[in-house]
Amino acid sequence: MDNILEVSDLEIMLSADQGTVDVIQSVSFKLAPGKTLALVGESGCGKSVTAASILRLLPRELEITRGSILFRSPDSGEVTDIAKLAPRGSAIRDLRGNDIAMIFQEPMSSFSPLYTIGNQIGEVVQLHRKVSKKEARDITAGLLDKVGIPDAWAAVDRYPHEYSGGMRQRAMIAKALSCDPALLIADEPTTALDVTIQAQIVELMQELQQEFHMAIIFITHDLGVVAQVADEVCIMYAGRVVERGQVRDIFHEARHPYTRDLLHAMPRLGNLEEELVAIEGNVPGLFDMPTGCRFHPRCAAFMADTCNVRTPDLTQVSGSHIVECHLYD
Amino acid sequence: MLRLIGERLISTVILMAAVSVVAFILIQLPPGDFADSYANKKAQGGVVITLEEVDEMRNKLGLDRPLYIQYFDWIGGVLGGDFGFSWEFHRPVSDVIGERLGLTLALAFSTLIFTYLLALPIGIYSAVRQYSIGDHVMTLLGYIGLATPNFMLALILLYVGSELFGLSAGGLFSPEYAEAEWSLARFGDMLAHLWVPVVVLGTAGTAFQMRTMRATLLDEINKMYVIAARAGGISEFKLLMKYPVRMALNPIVSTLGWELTNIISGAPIVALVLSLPDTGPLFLQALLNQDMYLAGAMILIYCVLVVIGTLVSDLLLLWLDPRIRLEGAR
Repeated sequence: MDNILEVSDLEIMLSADQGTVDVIQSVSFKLAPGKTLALVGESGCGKSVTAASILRLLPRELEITRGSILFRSPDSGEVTDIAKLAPRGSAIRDLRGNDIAMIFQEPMSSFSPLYTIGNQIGEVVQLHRKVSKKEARDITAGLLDKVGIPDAWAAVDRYPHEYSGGMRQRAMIAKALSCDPALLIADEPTTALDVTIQAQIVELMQELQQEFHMAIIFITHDLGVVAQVADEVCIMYAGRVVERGQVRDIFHEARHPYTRDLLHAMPRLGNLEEELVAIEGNVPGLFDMPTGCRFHPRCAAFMADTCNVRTPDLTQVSGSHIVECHLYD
Repeated sequence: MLRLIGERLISTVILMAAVSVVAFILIQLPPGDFADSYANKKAQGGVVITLEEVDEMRNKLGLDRPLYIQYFDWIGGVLGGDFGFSWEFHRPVSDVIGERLGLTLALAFSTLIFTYLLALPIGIYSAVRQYSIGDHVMTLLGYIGLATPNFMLALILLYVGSELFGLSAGGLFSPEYAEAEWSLARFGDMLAHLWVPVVVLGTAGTAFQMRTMRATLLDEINKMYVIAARAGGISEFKLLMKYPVRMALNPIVSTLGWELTNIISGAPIVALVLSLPDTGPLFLQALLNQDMYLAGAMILIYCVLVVIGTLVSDLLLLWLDPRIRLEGAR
C-alpha cells in the first residue's frame, strides 16, 4: 500500500428511536502522502461524519457497520484498519494527535476556557513524546511562533478567551502539528472565520503542508477553497460519494448533475453578469431517503423509471475520475 | 485577583454588620420580652408577680432602654467576645453555646463532606452512563431523597438504628459516654451516632447536587472542546476529569454557601427530633423563653456560618475559573 489512507466501502449506521438508518453508504477514497483531498457537499451530506470516523470520534449512536479505513504508518510502514479498532481503546489513542491530527470548525469552542492554550497544546506533546513539562512548554511556544502567533512565549500562558477567532484557529493548527502528523483532517477550518482571515489560514495550512509533508483531508462546502488547495475532490451527497476525481476533472469535466449544480451555484469573480443558480430543494432527511439515486428528486436530468428505481453503478470516466449516475451507465 | 479578593472581603464585613442588625431585630419581633415570659412561667407555677416587679426586672435587665442603644450595647460586647448573659441558664452565653457549638460544626461539616463525597461520583456516573440501569436507580433514589421530609427520615433512621443496630435511640453518645471526658472511645462512639443526623441532613442536598452534576455534565460532555481534546489522544478517564467534570464543578461550587444554609437551617429541627446535644434544641428553647442574648448569639453564629460558606464558595470559584479571575482584573 503506497497510499497513506484507503477508505473502502464505508458504511455508518445511526441508531435512533425511530430505528437504524445509514448515514454513510459505500464511501471509498484514497489519499497519497503529502496530497490534499477535499470532501465537498452541502450541510448534512455526511462529510463531517466521514472525517470523524477516521479518528473514531463518532458519537455513541453512530457506528461503523461495514468497510475498512486502512492507515499506513509513515514510520513503520505498518497498515492498521482503523474501522476495526475499539473506539475508546489505546490503539486508536496512539494514532490520535500523533499520526493523525484534526482541526475543527469552531475555533471559539475547540479549547476549554479553563486552561491556558499552552497547557492544552502541551498536553498533546506530553502524551506522545517523551518530554518533560518544561520541554513541552518550549515546544508549544515554538509551534505557536511557527503558526504566526505574535509574542508566542507570552501567548503560551494566555487563556483561549484572550485570543481572537483567527488566532485560536492558528493555535488549533499548532496543536494539530505538535506531533508531526502524517495526516491532518481539517473539518471546515475556515467556515467560522472572516474572509480575510480565511485566506490567511488556508495559506498557512499550505505552507505547513509543504514543510511537514502532511496529507490533508479538507472538508468544506466552499468550492473556491477547493480549487485553491485540493489535489483530489470527492463530491458527497446524502451520505454517498457521487463523483470523485482530480481537481481539474471536477472543475472542468464535471459529470454528475449535482456537481454541475454546485459549480453553477458558486460565484466567480469576473463573471458579474452570470446569474447564480440555486439548487432546488434540500438534502433529504435520514429517515426519508429517496429510492434509487438519492439525488433524483432535485435532478434536472431525472429519467423516470430509472433514477427513482435503481441505485446507479460507479462509472469510470477517465483515469481517476469516477461518477455515480445513470446518465453514464 | 488580589483586588477582587479584597473587594469580596470588604463586602463580607458590610454584610455581617447588616446581618447583625437583622438578627437583633428578629429576636425582638415576637411580642413581649424575657420579663413577660418569666412572669408567665411563674404565674403558671402559682406564684403571683406584680406589674411593678416585672417592670423592675425589665429595668434591671436593661430591656426598657431604646432598641438602638440595646443593639449597640450588645454588638459592642460581641465584638469584644462577650455575647452577653443567658438569663435562663444564669451563665454567660459564650459558656452555654461553647460546649455545644463544636458538635453543631462537626455535624454541619460532616454533612457537607457526606453530600459532596456521594453526590459528585454518582452524578458523574449517571451522566457518563446515561439511561443505564444504574442511572435509573440513582435517579429514582434521588427523587425519593428530594421528596422525603427531614423529620420523617429522622424518625425512620431512628427506628432502623435502634432496631437493627442496637444504637441508643437519638443523641450523639451512648449513655456511658454522654457525660464522660473526651477520649478516643468517646469520639468513636460519637461517629457511630453521627451518621444518622448526617444522613438525615444530607440526603436532600446529596440528591440535588447529584442531579445538578448529572445535568451539567451531560451538557458539557458533547461539547466541541471535549471532542477536540479527545482527538489529541488523551485517555477517556483523564479527559472526563480534566475537561467536562472540571467545567461542571462551577455550578456545584457556586451553590456551596447555599447548601450550607440548607444544612444549618434544617439542623435545629433534626436535632430536636433526634435529641442531639448540639445548639439546635438550645436555640429553640432560647426563642421560646425570649432569652434574648442567647437567641441573638445563635442567630448571629448561624448567619456568620452561611456568610463564610458563601465567601468560601466565591473564592473557590475564583480559583477554579480563569474567566472570572480575568473579568475582575479588568
